[in-house]
Amino acid sequence: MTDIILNRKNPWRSETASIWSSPVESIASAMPSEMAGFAARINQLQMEPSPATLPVTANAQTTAERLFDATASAKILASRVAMYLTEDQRRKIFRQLDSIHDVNEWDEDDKPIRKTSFATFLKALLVLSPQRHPGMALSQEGNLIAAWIIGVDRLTMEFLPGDRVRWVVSMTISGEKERATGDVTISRLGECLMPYRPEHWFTRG
Amino acid sequence: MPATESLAENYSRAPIIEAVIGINFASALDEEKIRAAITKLKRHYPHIQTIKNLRVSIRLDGADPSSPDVEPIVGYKLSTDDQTQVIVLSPVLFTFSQLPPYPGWEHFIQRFERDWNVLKRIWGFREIVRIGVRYINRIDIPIMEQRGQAESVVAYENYINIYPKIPESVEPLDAFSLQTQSYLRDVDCNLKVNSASVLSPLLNHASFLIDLDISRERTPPQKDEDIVALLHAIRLQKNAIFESCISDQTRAMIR
Repeated sequence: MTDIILNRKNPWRSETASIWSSPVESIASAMPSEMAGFAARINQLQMEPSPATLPVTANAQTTAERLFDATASAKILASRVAMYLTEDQRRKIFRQLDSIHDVNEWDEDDKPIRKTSFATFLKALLVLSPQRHPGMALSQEGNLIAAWIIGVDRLTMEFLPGDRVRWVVSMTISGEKERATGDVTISRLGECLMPYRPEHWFTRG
Repeated sequence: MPATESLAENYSRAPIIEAVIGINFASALDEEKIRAAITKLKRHYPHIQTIKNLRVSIRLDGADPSSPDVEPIVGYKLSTDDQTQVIVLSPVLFTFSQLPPYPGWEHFIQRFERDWNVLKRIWGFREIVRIGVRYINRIDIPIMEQRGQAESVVAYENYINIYPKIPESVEPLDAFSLQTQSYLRDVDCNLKVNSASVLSPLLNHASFLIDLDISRERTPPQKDEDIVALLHAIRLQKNAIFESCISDQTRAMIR
């Protein structure tokens, strides 16, 4: 049986994998002409970038252009997992992305959403499968923040790059206010929230 | 390869991550004509971005094999608000792309015909040298984490039928990428299949691409009705090939 091993610590397996690159092109210019033809044939073996993944120019951008690029990148990320989201979820996420990047409300000291943070958010969303949709905001570093508020109880998560989540909960338990916080990987998030009744936050009453 | 209407695009979790129709032209269009096309299409695709160093590679019969026929050019990427519908315009290339959620072939081809008709009205007749259809699929395989171990192993050959055959001495793999090139006699087209492991966007999953690129470069059709007929024929072939690239286990996952 042929297997593939998942080593999460493997540094060269980046999201924009080497299958999209064309290192041969940079070598071809230094080759004699007969070798350049060989390089061209090797180039044909490369997996070409698809239209949606073509890099766009990003110089001399206005604020509106910067914000558009950031939200566009996030929406393309969401499309990659759209088959696992409901249409309602997708619509709400996109509406909130546009709202938190409203150019009329934007502060130049703020940073637009980081792709890596949004990727963590999407993974977490698919793991937690909340029926209640959270409120969304941005941290100063451009990390996505999601909040579930029920009465005076509040669960807030900040989605960090690298599948990490920083969470804070404030909850009334047996008449007493309890607060807790954590910084964990997505895979540990469900277990860490167990004492604080995930169904309280995520299930529609 | 028998063509089929099959289930390929009708799965509830269709694994299509991008569907593309690409048309390459023999001669370059001037910037004014491209801008005119953008103006007309803007109402469907309100967002416009510039792509520099867009590389277009065309294999022409009889071309000098020693000259790599690629050159950097400027293109424009037009997109909808939700980024699911994209077109790329450049002097020699028109690509038409759909990201998930995939709306189905009929909707996809109707949108293509709508935009193609707009371009034809502005650009007039332009000789076509290549027509291609590309469907990029991603198969997401859930894995059971083995407690106390840093690594999990996935037997991908239970899910996909196109992968490298390797000796036990190099197992297990960290990643793979392979490409096959062949000829589809039924539609007189070239087939390029890329299969590769990719980082999964899902937690506790291993993901694999099955990228099917079917194109005609030898006497591609020039008339609109023949172009659309070819696209329909390619689509049926693509469906059959996709079905042959996945196992029943994958079908059960995406049904």
